Amino acid sequence: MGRVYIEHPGGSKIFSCGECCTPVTNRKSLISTRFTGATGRAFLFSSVVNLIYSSVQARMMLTGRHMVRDVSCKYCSAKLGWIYEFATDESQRYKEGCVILERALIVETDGIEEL
Amino acid sequence: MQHQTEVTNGASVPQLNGSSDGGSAVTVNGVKDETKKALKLDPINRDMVRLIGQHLANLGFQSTVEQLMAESGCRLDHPEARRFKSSVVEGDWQAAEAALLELQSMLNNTTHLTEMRFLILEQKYMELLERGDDIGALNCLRGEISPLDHNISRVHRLSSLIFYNNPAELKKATNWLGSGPESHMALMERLSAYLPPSVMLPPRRLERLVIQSVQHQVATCEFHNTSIEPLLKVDNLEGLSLSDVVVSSSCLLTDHHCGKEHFPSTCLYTVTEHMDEVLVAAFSPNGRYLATAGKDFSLLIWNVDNTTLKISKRHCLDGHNFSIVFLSWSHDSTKIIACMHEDASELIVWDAERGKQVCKVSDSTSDSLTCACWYKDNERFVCGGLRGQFYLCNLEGAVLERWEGVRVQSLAVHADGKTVLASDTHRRIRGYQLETVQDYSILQEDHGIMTFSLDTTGRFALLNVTTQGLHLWDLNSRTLVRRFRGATQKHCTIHSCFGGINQDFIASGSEDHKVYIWHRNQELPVAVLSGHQLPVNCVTWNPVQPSMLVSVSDDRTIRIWGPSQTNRLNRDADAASTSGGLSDGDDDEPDSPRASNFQFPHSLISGLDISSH
Repeated sequence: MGRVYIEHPGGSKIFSCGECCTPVTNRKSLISTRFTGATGRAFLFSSVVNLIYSSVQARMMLTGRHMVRDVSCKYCSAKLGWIYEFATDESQRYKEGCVILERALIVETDGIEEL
Repeated sequence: MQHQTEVTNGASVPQLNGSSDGGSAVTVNGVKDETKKALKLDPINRDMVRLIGQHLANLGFQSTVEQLMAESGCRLDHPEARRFKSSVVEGDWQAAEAALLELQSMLNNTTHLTEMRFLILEQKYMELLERGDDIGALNCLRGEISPLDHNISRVHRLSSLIFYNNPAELKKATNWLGSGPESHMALMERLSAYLPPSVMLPPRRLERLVIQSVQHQVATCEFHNTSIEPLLKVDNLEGLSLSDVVVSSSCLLTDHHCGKEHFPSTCLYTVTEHMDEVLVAAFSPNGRYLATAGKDFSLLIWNVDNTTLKISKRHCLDGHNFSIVFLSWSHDSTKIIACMHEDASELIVWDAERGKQVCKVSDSTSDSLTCACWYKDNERFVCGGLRGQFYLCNLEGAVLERWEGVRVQSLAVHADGKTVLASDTHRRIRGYQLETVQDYSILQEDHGIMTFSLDTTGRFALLNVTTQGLHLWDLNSRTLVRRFRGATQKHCTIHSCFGGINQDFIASGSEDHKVYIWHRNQELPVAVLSGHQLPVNCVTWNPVQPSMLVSVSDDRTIRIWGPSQTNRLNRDADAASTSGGLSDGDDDEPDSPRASNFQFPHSLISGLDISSH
């Protein structure tokens, strides 16, 4: 597929795809750890890179009805979580635009000191 | 009415041959008196007639000009202005001042009068000094220049000039041409800037207008890729005449419009040597070699024949264990760096002529060195990667300097030869001087910068910005000049380049399998070349043969693009029949219907000396 263009989120602690170690996001973008996905714990992040988004689906979750897109690694297409696009409940609005990554599917590594 | 045409078409010819002044002029005037009033011109046409009259007068058609002025009721210059001009040219400063005072009422601004007088007196003072007439010069300074109370600092400077002993030193110190017709003409040109055009026409005005119009035609010519036709980037028209800028009269008679004789528009041939996706390609700066590399782990160096546009394999360089993702030629075209995939942890420097390894840089096994660029001394190079390595290395593979803290995605060397421009993961381009540990910010984008390259002047940078197209930045003013639309680049790293004579064109690969070419001044592509079956990863334009373009793609092929066969045959055939002369454009090519054709041998490369014909 040519040379896939990979960005890097920077930061001191980096979360990467569990399969191919492509960097996805960092601790700075972490909003909350109290989420649950199919495989168990999941984290909510505000900004991510190197992901591809599926088409939007409506899903019923513990917290209510949401419109979400599944999110996969750009490099190896492993499914990593989902992104909230629309929340029906006003109280859930804060999640819109943020990405859930399941803890079991990502790895955490150290970043470098950056200018 | 008919009477008038009779006089101009029929009778005027014998009149000019015989005696066009005196008696017959009276007759002409007599006849025309009634008709003169009929030729009422609106202001625009009056100015047109004056311009034409000025041009004819410059060519020497004095009597024609007189007749023209009589017939149209215009005049070239105000009689006082003409007197002023002749006295300045002769150096008769007193008469010049007198004429100037007569013109006073016609000047736009009262300060202009003082400035003009100052300039004249300055010249007078300098000439007196040159002649050695110190007393006269001092009197001039005291009695004439100082009372003007204008530009005091200049007056002080002038008074210091009296200390120069001989004229040669004086001229050198002030950059003055000395007294004489040349200097007077230069002074007259400066003075004419203050006179309104109704009083005195700016010199050679019609020629200037024509030059501007020709330049505009060339600027809007989409496929203009030759150095033959009019000079495009001439800013200062002062010393130029029409014949300097416009080479052939066909440019005046029909709008300049290049066909595709020098423009890469068709695929000349395809080369399938690589076993896997080809990711990068690069011409050497001298245009004699082409390097291509990709996922099959081998770097191929090709010889390029710039006349036939054929390439032949020179070396097949193995020794890489990972796909090659970046190439960088040294500025003298002898060496090339092959950078590999992130997991490689080393890079290899090759000698392109002999096909031997020069050195490897492998500092530690967790390094990633995915891009590189050479210093202008061709002895040292900079390399960097996404894991934060940013090294300055020498030809032994030793690391001389390290810069910590930046994840480098693409590199290019600045025009000064030692500063390195690097694009990083924070979507910026910054300049780094690794030896002196200095850095500075240049630009910030909103989306990731995949690759970037600089043009030969080093002033402009072409960035491939993911999902946004190509962005052209001016590095001196740090502003975005233009965005180029059309190509698709979201998923893969696509490379682009400058190309053509004067680097007027921009080419890029694209994920929709096509090669896109833009003219630098237009946002939408002038040409979209199809042929590849998979995404085109990289394009490179031959720096010495401006009509040759090479593209490489995931479909494992290298395609060479050039002018189409018929275009080249026409160009070559015409060149064979006439050597340097202008033959008429008998082109049956559908896309170049105009008669303006350039008949020059195709072995022509930029830098041609345009011979007269």
